[in-house]
Amino acid sequence: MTTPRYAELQVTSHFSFLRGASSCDDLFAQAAALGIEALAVVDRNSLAGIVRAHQAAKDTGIRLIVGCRLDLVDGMSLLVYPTDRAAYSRLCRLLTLGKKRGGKAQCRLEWDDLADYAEGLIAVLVPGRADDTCALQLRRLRETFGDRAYLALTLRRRPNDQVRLHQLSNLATQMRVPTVVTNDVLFHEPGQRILQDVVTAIRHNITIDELGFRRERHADRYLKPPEEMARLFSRYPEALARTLEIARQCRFSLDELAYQYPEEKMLPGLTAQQALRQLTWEGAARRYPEGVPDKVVALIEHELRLIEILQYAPYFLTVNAIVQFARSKDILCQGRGSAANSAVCYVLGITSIDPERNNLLFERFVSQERNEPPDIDVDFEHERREIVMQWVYETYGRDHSALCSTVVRYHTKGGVRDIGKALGLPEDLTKLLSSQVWGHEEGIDEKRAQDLNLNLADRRLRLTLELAQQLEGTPRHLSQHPGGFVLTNDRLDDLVPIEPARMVDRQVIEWDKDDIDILKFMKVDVLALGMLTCMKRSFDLLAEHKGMTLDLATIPAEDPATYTMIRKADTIGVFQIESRAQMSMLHRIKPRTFYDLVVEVAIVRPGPIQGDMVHPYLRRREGKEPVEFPTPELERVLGKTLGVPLFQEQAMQVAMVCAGFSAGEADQLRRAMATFKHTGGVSKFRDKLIGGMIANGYTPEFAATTFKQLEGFGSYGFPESHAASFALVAYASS
Amino acid sequence: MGFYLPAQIVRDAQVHGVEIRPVCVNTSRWDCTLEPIGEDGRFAVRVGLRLVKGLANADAAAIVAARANEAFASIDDLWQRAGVPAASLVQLAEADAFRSDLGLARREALWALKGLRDEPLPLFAAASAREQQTVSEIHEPALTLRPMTAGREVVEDYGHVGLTLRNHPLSFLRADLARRRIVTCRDAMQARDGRWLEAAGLVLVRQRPGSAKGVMFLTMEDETGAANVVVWVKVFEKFRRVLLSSSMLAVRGKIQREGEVVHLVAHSLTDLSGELASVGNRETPFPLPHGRGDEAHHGGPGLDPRSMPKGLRPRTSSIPRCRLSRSR
Repeated sequence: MTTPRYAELQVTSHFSFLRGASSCDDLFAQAAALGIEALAVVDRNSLAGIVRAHQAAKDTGIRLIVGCRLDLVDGMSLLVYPTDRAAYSRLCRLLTLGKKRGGKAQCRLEWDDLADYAEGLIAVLVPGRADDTCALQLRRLRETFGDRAYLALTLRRRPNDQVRLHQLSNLATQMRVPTVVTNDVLFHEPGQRILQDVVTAIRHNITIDELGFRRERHADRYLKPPEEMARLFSRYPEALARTLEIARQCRFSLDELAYQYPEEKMLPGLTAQQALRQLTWEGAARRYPEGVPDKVVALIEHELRLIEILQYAPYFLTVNAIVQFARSKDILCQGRGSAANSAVCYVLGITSIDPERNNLLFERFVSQERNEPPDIDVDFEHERREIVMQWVYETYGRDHSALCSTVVRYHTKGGVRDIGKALGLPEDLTKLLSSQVWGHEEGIDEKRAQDLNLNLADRRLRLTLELAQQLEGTPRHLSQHPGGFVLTNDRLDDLVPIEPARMVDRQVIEWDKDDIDILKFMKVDVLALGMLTCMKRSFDLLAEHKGMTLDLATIPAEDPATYTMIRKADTIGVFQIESRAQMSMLHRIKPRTFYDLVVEVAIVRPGPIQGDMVHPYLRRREGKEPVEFPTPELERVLGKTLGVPLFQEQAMQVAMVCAGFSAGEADQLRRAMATFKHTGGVSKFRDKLIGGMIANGYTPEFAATTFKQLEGFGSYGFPESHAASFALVAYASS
Repeated sequence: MGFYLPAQIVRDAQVHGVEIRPVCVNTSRWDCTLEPIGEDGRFAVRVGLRLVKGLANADAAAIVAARANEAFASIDDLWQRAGVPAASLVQLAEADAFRSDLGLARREALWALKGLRDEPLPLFAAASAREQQTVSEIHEPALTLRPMTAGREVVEDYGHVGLTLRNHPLSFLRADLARRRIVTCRDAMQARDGRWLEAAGLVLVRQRPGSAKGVMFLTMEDETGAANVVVWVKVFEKFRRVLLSSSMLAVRGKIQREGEVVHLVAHSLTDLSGELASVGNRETPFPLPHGRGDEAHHGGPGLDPRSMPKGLRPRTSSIPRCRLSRSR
């Protein structure tokens, strides 16, 4: 006998918040182990988990069928699967419509809405009993979906289960709707059952003792191998085979979502690239009234060329437009992060790090090898940022722009609190337990509970601690990203459902920033910085009371009194350098110039600290250790930081100058360093770097030291550009 | 915003000789403002209404608009002209905003507000309009309320404005602390290297940076200044409960001097939250606010998201978190 084949069409992931109990990764890994050919992830009225599922499917080689479970207002539930891209867009729009009606985290859809968007969707009815209601629903389904309508046969493990299946099957035949087997999976393996019960209790906001029939009534809603499904449904082999038929028809994959950045038409008659070019040179003339220095001209030409190849011009224009708008409303703003490495951004007025005086490394920002959208973060005054955000919504349209969401997940504290409550522990006990957790970073182990004089023989207490650990990382709800906008050329609700946010006039998509990274969407960050609000207020007060008009750019530079104050570490309330670690470093760095501040901001980071670069730098600064450079090239790169690499750009330049890396490779090295703990991909760079350095005449010891230094701060170092942007705010606020 | 709370920034400003003036219904605007001192071009800072806990921006705006022509003469006057709900006035009274201009202490103001409703009675409103002045709705015999204790005022300040311009809460406890041979933070920070001593203060900031391998850095404050405390992992585990739950701590340890950087290296810690609560003579805990710098309260920054591989599904369960020093 041939082995049975099976595709599971009804899988609920934990993105059906507080309902599913397993992550997509676990589900797909389990499916691969059991030999299930495809999984359809159908979360309730949501596609929030679909990108994670897409990625998990790619990793495991099990096919993902994109789908969604719709719970209509009249109590009818059905599973829908888009067969192609157009149908997927319709599904997204349908969900957007329902969410707009229902408000945050709700979805209100009627049968008529579904009928409007039904084209190209396969629908599977999730029936109750084989009664008149079911017959009516089947008739409607049949009329609307035609041969794309099915009826789900699912074991419920209640009395008369087989009779129910038999009646449903008969009814389906009578209504000429084919049946299909599903298992209504809530978790990937039986062990997750307890967790599922507890999250159900959390969802209903009651304890498990009161849960009663609201509990999912059968224990076997885990993934089952095809053989087992065939055994359970041996009376309905054709319904089993139809799972594969549906899987065959649903060819849609998220890879087909082609993202298009909105066309920026700022100057009529010009392409985006031409417009950017024109604006850039106009800006350059403004920034350098005495003529643009040759070095900057070369940089700008280089950047514009790269931008053209990668077609990022519209993106730059968007950010420029947002910044211009903010300026016109007199809202302080400043670009930060790696974007400050760009001369184009500087002349456009987005960032304020002068490329003439600083060594910029554009490849840290945009590189051809990385082939990844650029990321310009712009900070705005936090209390008036809403004006900018609303302008973005209005300018690009509410169906073309939305904020990313952030998935709020359980940490130990919240987990203990919610689970404890569901298990009926008294509130003071859960409070006591969670108050002993440091931040979100550690679990509660037995010893800790013992220290609190708790009786660990108590079953519920023990269970709470165990389950809290299991629950860690499970999504709880969607929230807004602090400022990441997704803008599109075509309608955004063709790509992803949009839901209204809790705040007035804001809307978010269902995916978070990692999801949109996977799908290579571009996002524009409109961030909020409280210090800018403060400075804006100070400028206003100065203007009002002392008649001085200042702004970020016209604050007197290199003011000795300011540095005297900073050297005394009298910096409470000063941006960035007010924390305790920064303050104690101020005593040692003793800043006298702006560049010292840049170093100061960058050095108090785990990267330089772990890479053991702080002490050599300080020793050299205090003249206790000679500053040596094996070669003049190296001196050019590291001269300003006394031979110790403190910034990410320097790490990259060291690799380029000493070991012959291309700019793109150096950026890959940086990224590999940043992530080597997760991927282990750094060793090939190690050989290349050390080999390259030795070939260029450096000693092996020196090469090894350099590698170690680079390794130390790949992850937690600041790019110089970012440190410089922050140092500017720090200086201005002091 | 930022690493510190208004309380610390205001204290720092006071140390630098900046005059700070309390919230006042007749002079404060929503934001903090500058008020000239005399003629010599110096200014004092007037604390804004935004710091009053729970007060809505719209109500504050209504109050500021209503007093544009003429300052409020009394609570009754304010209530009739500004037309804000009595609940907002209660918030202002709790923040002690009626004292500096109307001469009403917290209790007196709250007492006066007890007699008010959300809107004036129509007949009285009509009478007020006709008379061109406020006709008060009730006539009550004047009564003298017992003034709050100084300690209580400070507790109320913290609870409703988040800072106090009166004495530091610890100054009320100083005699007790001195009897226990606990020194001030300033004395501790000025002591010579290697000295053993015990200092106490309000817990301002607790941090355990990932690069410090579980060491906790704690900043505490008393009326003389702030002290920097280092807690090594072993001590942390031993005194975990105290460290995570106290709002006031006594730290016994050794002074460590490194040039201008001074630390008190903790050896043992005592929870003095009970003593702190006694400042207001009541059982409820002291309403100490926590700044963003305090990781014990707000959670640490965790893994730097920029360090994560893009697109590799970070933050799912398989990510190794920074487990700082589990006690095993």
